[in-house]
Amino acid sequence: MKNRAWSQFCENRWAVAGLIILGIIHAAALFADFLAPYSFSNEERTYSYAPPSKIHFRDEQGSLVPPFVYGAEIKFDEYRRRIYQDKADEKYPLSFFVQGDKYKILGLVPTTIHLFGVKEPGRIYLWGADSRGRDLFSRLLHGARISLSIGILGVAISFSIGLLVGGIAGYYGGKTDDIIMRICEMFMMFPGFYLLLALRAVVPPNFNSIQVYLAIVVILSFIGWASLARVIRGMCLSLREREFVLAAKTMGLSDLRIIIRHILPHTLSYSLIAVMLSIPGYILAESSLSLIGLGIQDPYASWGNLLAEAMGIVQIKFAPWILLPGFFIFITVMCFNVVGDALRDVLDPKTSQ
Amino acid sequence: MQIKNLAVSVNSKKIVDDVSLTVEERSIFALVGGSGSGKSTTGLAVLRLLAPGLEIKSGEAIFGGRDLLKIGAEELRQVRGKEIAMVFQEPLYAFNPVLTVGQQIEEVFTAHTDFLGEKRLEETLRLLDIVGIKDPLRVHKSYPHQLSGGMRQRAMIAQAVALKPRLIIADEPTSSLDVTLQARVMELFLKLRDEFDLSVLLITHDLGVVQHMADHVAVMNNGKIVESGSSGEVLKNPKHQYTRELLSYVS
Amino acid sequence: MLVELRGVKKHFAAVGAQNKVIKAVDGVDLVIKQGENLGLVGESGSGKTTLGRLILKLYDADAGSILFEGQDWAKLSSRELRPLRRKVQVVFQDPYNSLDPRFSIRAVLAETFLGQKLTKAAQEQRMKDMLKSVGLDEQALNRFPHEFSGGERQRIAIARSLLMNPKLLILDEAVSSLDVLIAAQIIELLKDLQAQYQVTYLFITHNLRVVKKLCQKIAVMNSGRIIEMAKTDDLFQQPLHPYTQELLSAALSYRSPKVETVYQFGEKSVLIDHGNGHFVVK
Repeated sequence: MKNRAWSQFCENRWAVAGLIILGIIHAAALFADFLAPYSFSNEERTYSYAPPSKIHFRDEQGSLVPPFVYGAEIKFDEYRRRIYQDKADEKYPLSFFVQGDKYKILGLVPTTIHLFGVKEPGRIYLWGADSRGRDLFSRLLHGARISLSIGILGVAISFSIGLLVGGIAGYYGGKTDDIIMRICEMFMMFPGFYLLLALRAVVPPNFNSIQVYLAIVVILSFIGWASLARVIRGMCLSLREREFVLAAKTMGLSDLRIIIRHILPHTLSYSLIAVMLSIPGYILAESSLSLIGLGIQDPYASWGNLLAEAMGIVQIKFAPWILLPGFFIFITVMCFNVVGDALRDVLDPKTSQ
Repeated sequence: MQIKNLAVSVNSKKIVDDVSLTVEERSIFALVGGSGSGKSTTGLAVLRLLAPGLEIKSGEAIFGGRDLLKIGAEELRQVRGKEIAMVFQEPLYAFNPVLTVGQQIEEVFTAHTDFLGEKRLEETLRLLDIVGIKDPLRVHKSYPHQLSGGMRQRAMIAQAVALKPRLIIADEPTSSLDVTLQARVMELFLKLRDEFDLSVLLITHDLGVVQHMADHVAVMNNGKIVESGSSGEVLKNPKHQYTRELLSYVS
Repeated sequence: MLVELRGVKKHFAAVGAQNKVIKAVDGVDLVIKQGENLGLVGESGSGKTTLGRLILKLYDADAGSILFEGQDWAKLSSRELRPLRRKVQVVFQDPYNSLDPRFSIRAVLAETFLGQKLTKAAQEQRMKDMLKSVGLDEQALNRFPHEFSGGERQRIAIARSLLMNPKLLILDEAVSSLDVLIAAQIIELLKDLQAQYQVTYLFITHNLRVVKKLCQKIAVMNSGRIIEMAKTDDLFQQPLHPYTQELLSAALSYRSPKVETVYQFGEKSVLIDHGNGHFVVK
């Protein structure tokens, strides 16, 4: 059964590609500190909007040498915009496993080793720099951590609530069911984004970054659980009449145990699909909040507040790389949708064909 | 219809082994056996409806001068709908749950005849009446789950005889019904034989069900026919040990 | 007196029709004695399954009372009821539905030990012994329901029920989806297990033939009422109600009923004693 589903899933090339891309993005987010040459807050203001560094493999004579980058010479044009030029006499070899900013591997082991980097005072901007001379590549990786984890954490919380509440409503039926469903409908009645703004307004302004982060997760899950609860409740209504559930009841098992062990597992394939298809919603919601400045605050990075820099047409014209966070949001959302759709085709025979 | 030396295997293990039988015109032939005896497989193999993995190794199924195991897909489709019909054990699964029973019976006319809407409805109601449904109009408008088991089975039989087939293959048509209904559905088959001049290949595990109505009985065990003959002969004077065992449970 | 039912009623709202009720069980008095197997026979729609589920306390009765060992379960809180539920177990008709498909047989059986203080080894031993008594190999423990045939699954369901040490085991059409040979084997098995496990059976079925060998007493149900009740031999030899006669002829000689099989009962129809514990509705 599982093998069949898996091999069917593998036949869908888009889905497999999506899954691989998601895997890479999530792994990159997990090891962001190591992969990124700088920490998210490492800034060098003289390098405001520095373009992506060119990595050279040949020297002036054209012979192959270990990769290096040139130092930058900064000039100003008549509008006092910076113009970056290579300094031919300043070469910074690109080296691997170099000393850099302090961090802890997976939050546990303190270290200063980064995958690659160049010796100070040289800087390497793989994908350019932002207004304050921070490396966009590093900030994208760190931002991925926040954006992706908000999606996953938000889904995890709202689905736990949704499953349990839906399970209880469906299993007991009657008045319990009525009351819970009316509450669900109340949540679903409000347009999501305005509810999001309203709830965000309730959060005290003096929260620190971690508190804001958690507040956003809680707000998102608060909005998301209701629709899942409704569907799960419908499935449980029919599952509770199945004979193995009746048998479990006559064995004197507790209601909670019956719901968790005998009913909810049967909604698993649906839930898995729903999870995949709703993570993008959470990522987008966080991005929207951060984009308008109500989400993650500088210097912490999320894809949403990175994209906030790209709100001016001038910046986009002269530093187009600051649009990259938008590109990552797009790719990630697409991948989740493609994988979710493929999962639905494989796991839910009713809708496939 | 005549089946000659039919053999079906899965992973080179034979589950139907050298089965030969002849269903005469206007007769009821009962193929009896326990679960796993290969009786259902035999019925499905004739119409080439076997599940993937099951393979017809050899044999012929002669029907109207053709070998059903060799004819082309289009010809087979014609035979399946028009000349041989199938009735299954659980009519709830044989009907599509989101269409009314009437729609599904009419569908048969849409596919195989040029009857117009009104004629289709008329024919459908007539069929439902023939199979003993007292309130054809209500059943016509009902969804499968709204009918009782007996009603559903009758409706499915109505669908099966819609195009006046020459043979009905009925696979455990009464096993999911109450005893009182079992007898009634069996009597319905007798009535249909007379009304439509058709033959019935009745596949069942219950020798008792067939004792009053089958003309011919073949008993299957482990993929082989162990005993066959006229039903009076087999039931009164069973020769094979397995037949005797089956009989002992129904008397 | 193991179970005693007094004037039990259960009505359901009809689906799709307003103000219409289905009187699934409509005033049933019944007594099940320890060790005396009862066959509850009727067609689909007669209310026999609902009656079984009322005794299992899967439904609450609308009227009347059900006493189990003299105790009315309706008066207990769910906390008090839960440990008592072990005493009444059930085996359902559809062996494909009554075992959770996601559970291995070990997990299915191990669930019966919840709330009991048994060591893992003792549990394992009990499960193996029980599988042996129902005629299965102990290798079965590691397998999943879909790997078994219908008859084997019913054996597993019986094993699970008996591991709870029930006083009453309700068999709801437990052999109806099996072929005659397998059904006969299951009936034999149930007979063998009865003495060993000190359990009483309530066998719910549409087929009188099935209960003949297993039950000492038979009650025939129609339209939510019991219309005839007698010792098995009496009922087979001398069925008094015309409906019972039809059921018998259908079950034994496969003759279809000649009379209308759904009855209407008024408030006044009661069971009349014809002597020797033989009751018929009037």
